[in-house]
Amino acid sequence: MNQQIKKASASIASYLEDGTKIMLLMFLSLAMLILLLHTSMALFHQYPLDYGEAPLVDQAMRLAAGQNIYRPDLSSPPYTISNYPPLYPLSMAPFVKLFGPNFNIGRMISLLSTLASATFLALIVYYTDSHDRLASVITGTLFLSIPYVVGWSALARVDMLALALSTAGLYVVARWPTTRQGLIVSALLLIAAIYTRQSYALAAPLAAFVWLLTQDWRQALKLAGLVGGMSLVLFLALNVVTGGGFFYNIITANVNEFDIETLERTGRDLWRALPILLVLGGVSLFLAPRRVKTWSLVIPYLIGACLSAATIGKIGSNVNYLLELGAALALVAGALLTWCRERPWLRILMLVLLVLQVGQLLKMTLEGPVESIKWRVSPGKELDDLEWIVETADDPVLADEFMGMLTLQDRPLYIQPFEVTQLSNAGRWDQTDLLAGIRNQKFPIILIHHFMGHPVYKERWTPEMLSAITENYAATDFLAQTLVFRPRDAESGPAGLEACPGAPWRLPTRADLGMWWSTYQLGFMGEGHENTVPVYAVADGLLLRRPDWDSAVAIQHDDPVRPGEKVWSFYGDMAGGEDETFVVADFPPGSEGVPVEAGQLLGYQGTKGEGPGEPMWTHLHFAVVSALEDGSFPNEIVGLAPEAEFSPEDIPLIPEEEETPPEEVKFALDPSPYLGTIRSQVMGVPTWLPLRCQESVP
Amino acid sequence: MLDKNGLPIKRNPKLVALAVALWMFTSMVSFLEILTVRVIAIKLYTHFAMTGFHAREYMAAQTLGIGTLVVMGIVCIGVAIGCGEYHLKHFSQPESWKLFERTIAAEMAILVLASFI
Repeated sequence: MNQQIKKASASIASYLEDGTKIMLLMFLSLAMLILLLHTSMALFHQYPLDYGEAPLVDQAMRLAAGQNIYRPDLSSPPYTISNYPPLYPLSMAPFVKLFGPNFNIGRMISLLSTLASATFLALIVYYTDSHDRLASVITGTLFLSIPYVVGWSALARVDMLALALSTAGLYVVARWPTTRQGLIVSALLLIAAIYTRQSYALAAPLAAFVWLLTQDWRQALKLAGLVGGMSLVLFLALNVVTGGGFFYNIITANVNEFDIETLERTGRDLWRALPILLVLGGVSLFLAPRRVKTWSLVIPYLIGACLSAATIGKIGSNVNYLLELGAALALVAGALLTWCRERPWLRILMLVLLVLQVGQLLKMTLEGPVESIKWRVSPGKELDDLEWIVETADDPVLADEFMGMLTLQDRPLYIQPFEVTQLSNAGRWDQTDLLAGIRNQKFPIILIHHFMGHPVYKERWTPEMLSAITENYAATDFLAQTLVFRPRDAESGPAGLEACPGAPWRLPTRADLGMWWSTYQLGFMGEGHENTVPVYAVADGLLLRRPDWDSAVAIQHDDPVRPGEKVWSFYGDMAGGEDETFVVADFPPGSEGVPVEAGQLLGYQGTKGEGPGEPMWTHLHFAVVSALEDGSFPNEIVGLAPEAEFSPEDIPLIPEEEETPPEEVKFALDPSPYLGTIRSQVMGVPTWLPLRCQESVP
Repeated sequence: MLDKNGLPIKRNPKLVALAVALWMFTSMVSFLEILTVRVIAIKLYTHFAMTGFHAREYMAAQTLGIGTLVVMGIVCIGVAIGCGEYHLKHFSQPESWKLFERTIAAEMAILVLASFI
């Protein structure tokens, strides 16, 4: 009887295992399709996809020209830093010399490296344990399904090449642990990985060392001596050749401030994306030393990768710090799957868990890297226009996210703003000369990228640089989410313009970063942190702040455009991302009929976005609203309802042929005749406008 | 069906009922999944291509949806007829049960996928 039950159980388990295997392979196949689509979008895109791409192409250009990329000091331009060892730019240099500067070659190197990493991980699982083909295929494809890997697989960045070299080194040492050739090749590959990206000096060398220690301690010591010794000799040689520049660029200029909040946020994101792999990783720490054959390779690699990933708290870090952890977790999954080979029910459970994990990875990939590249590529024509603007501008040009527009034209970079800003914040770089250049309008254009909701520009430019830019330059265009600043002239007017000539009202606040027009509302984007850019009354009048208005006030005026009528000016979004109010204490909720004078302080620009926890850039929402017959403020106006001040969902789309606007927007008036600012007839779609006055106010 | 000696094969009625029920179940689910696959295809398209309700992208999504319906319709008819023939030929053999298991696994995978995408 027992025998029969065992036989039936084995038969059912065999069917179930096959079924879950089919499910997992279907999920992984879709993940591969998404990777393919994502990488093809990235590979064939002409323009930069990431801030870090252009500096590497710039370094490749300089290496191709025989120049030193590790300058020992930054007292004179170009203010550029080579954060990484030279192997990746060296690998691009011949192609840059042959085909000219481009991002496609670097991205192709990354893609091939990604595929190589997956292959080496699969081979490690296959050869170090019981030649389990399924487990090795799952290891490789699981790694390729991780959103961080997908996102980084086709960027011209150093990370994937470093990972490929380190996993190759691990594979060689895992396959041929006792041979002399294996040891030497493995050491060379690990050193190559370190000289592609310095953080790869930890996880893979540690794993290789511990793995060898369990096989032959002499081999382990030889490997440590080879990797450590040769790396040190190379480091000293490069440092001598570059006059100390190598140490300065690789070490000194890389020590940014550590932000524990970034680490916590990354931890939460990681848990959301890889919950099952993280649990399996945790389980393997306890289970593996006794049971899993490859523990001495997998566990040290996982621990080393976790330590490397923890450095993501450095300001400016990105998810590339998680790539090694992704590789280690895929390896853990493969090793555990191999261990379960003789335990069918456990293996079925593992396969089911991996199905769910890959499902979550698919979801996160679509929401993360796929959305990201779509928005990056979609501006299309605007990117061409931006390139044309850069092409027609004389050197030197200052740029951040789109500094790659310069390298594409074979022009060297003048500055890497993020790197020098971090050095300046740490007191290791003097920005005086650069500030003088900005004040003297030495730069024909300055490009500052705009990540809505994330004012990353504040990490890339010092407050002094931003202040000098907004005082001496005016934002004239907004293309591909990038503000184009040109030297201020008569047309753009002076910085901090209080009122347009001839306009009946003064301006409510500064808009150094331009204005957003969205159907009868004007968004003024001031430069600065929330609660620092003042908002003033545009004219004399009586102030209203309803009890439920947390971030807004309105002022009733005699209408200067329609004599004899009453009109309201409305000031919204004077609140932080978490809804803390920045309206001055003189006007508490419930204020009504309080006399105010033109220019009286009302509050400060806020970062209130579409909802709590979704802040935007510092801004003020301003509207001009027609009064009701009795002079009171209309309740029904779109966006001004107490519950949803200017919610984007409320913005009405008014087709041109429609003669009468819907009831709810008929109270909103075009603010431009009141403020004298330039007009826009675009309805429905938010449109960026420069803060500029009309030549004659009607 | 005849055995190798030309005599009619005796079939266990319970197994016949089970096989027919499984075939009907897998065929019906595959037809129901036409819409699920259509939704998955359109969602994938929107993730990669839709940046707004531009007419061109909207039309492309519609075309993709219709195309998916046609292809999946053909696939489902193929699955129902092809699998039916296969089960008839390999009745009560491990190959037949394996095909049932794989068909159900694939159909479940599509349903679970839809909840993630």
